[in-house]
Amino acid sequence: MNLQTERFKEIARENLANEEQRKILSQFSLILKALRDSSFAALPDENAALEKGRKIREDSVKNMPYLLETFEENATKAGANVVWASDARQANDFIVSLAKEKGANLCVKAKSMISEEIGLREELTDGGIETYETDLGEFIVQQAGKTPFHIVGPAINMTIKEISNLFNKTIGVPKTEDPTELAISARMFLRDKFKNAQIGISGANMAVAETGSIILVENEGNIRFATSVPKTHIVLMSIEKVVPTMSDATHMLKLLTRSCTGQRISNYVSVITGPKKAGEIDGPEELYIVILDNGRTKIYSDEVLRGALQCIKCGMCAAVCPVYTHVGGYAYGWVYSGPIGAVLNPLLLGLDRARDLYHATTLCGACKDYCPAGVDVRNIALDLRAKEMDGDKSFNASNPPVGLKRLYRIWTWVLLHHSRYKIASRLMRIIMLPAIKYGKISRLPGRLSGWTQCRDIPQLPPKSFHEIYSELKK
Amino acid sequence: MDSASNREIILDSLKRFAIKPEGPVKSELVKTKIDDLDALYESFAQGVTAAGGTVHRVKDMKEALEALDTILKELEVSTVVISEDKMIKLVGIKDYLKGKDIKILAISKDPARHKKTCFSADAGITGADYALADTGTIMIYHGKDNARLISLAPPTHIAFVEADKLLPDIDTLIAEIKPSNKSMPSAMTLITGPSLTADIALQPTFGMHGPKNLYVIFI
Ligand code: SF4
Repeated sequence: MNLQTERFKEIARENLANEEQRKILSQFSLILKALRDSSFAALPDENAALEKGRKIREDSVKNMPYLLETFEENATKAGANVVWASDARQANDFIVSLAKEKGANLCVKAKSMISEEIGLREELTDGGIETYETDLGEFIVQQAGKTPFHIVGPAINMTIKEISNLFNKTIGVPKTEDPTELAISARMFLRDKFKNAQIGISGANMAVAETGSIILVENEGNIRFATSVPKTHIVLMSIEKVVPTMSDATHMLKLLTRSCTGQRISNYVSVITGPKKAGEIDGPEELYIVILDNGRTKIYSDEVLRGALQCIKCGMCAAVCPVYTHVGGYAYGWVYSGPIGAVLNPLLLGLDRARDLYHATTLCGACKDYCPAGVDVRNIALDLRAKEMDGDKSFNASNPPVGLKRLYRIWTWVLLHHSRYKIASRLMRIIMLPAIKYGKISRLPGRLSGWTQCRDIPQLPPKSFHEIYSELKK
Repeated sequence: MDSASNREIILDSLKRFAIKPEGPVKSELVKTKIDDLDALYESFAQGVTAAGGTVHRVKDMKEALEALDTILKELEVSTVVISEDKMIKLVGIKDYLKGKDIKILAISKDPARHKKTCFSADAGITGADYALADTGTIMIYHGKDNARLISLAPPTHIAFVEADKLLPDIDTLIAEIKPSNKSMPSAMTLITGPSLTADIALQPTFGMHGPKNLYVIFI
């Protein structure tokens, strides 16, 4: 996938100027949030359910290596081939050469973030294996040669007309204004691919240690096809997908679909344990499970940052994020967008390559309040900023601007002592005076102008709380 | 790629920082307790309907067959593919349909032929192993006698489920089936309504890849 994390500000500005897209984005986010809220309200005790989910993910991450061992053991017993890959290169090479070994020339793919992360589809295509995204949204995006706009609705920013023109050009169907007809065209086109593909590739929403099962969540049925028709099914999963038991998994399932689309359950949930058994007519003859690290063990070594691995990729944090709902998904420049992308992209790519992302948060914490997996994005973003200031290079932080560092040092020094703080605030009152108009500062000069670009600084009141308090006490 | 050495490296580096939790996550979740079949059914039917499916509640096998007949006539179905699970045999669907104007496509043991059959049938008829009241879900254990494509490839899926298989929710299901490595089928599918997409301009469309119609005959 095209990497553009270094262009955050530029892309954000471009997208902010796109009125039409902003409207779609804010409406979509509002709808998602409303659906989410009502589906959670239907739980007997939504807070207890959320708490339990967060604990399950926290414990799963804490205990990850042991759960992975159990998962591997049980999946192998069920007849799956479990394979471990350290990075994107290894996983891609393994999967492409496996497909070639099987003599495959056609592959059907289910939607999976991890495969986007390693650019698997492109690798397969380059290796001479025709590969199709089969989720409708992803299929449209693939046909258009774009990147997904939104985790849940990859193509919601495209109009019916655009899609109609696109399908007319790429799959040769007549133009139409009817979305159902467009969906049928895609159905017919992909049916043919399902029928003939030798390889099916999916991700995993969860991997259950207790049984060695993979859980896949969807509405369209494309994942069921991709995991039922081709002779070989390859699951690509990152190490953090594992949960202890089936009942943990089904609890997370309840929270996942509710947070993702506001559904109490998705239309289809597949629980896959090994390849088809003797005597079964359909289902894959072989099941490969590729467990991929790709930088996650390193994240795991940091107590605060490892929280990011609790994420179940529901996308809810994006819908409630004041930054995301304005700038949209493209600005995040890589696979993951929204609050989780703001910390996960830098962690996976190196902080220096995605510096703007973890700085572009208001720290409002809405993401944490809504997260069903207990990810505290705000705290992680703060930790990344601190790493940058402290010169901690463990995640390739770039050097902070010299002036900024000095400023922070003075700031800290002032805040650390009460008397210094009191003097400083009195001074500020005087310094601010000339710039104040109508009780506020609307424009700061020079490099400080960024602060007042979108907001005013209110005038400090004539007396601080402390001063009033001590006067009253007398 | 050396999978074994990758495995070692990954697990070792994780283990240096892993923390064993005190035990399984306990829940003090409030349970919805409905024992009354009518209330459970009400909720089940509501769930199926909300997801775009249709439920028929029938008294016995005879009525079940009549309901099937009505559906097939209404949709003008001419070819069906039928699974071979217990439920199908119990209802006696094959014998019933033999006298009708409907062609039963034989299930082939050959995967390629089987694929062709399922991709061409007008409707797939299967039993369901469980039903979940709170979401309107049916659950199918796929296996020798309930092949995956029958409930997936044809544009209509008709499923039969018995009242005593209706459970309150997914938690009760897990408690009931006690999943273990040995007991899990190669695939188990939870189905709630027909196949759905909203990827084009948020317009809900049924029958994206899977069936457009889902009928549940609840006996
Ligand atoms: S961080 Fe939480 S809310 Fe955001 S995608 Fe991950 S699980 Fe969902």
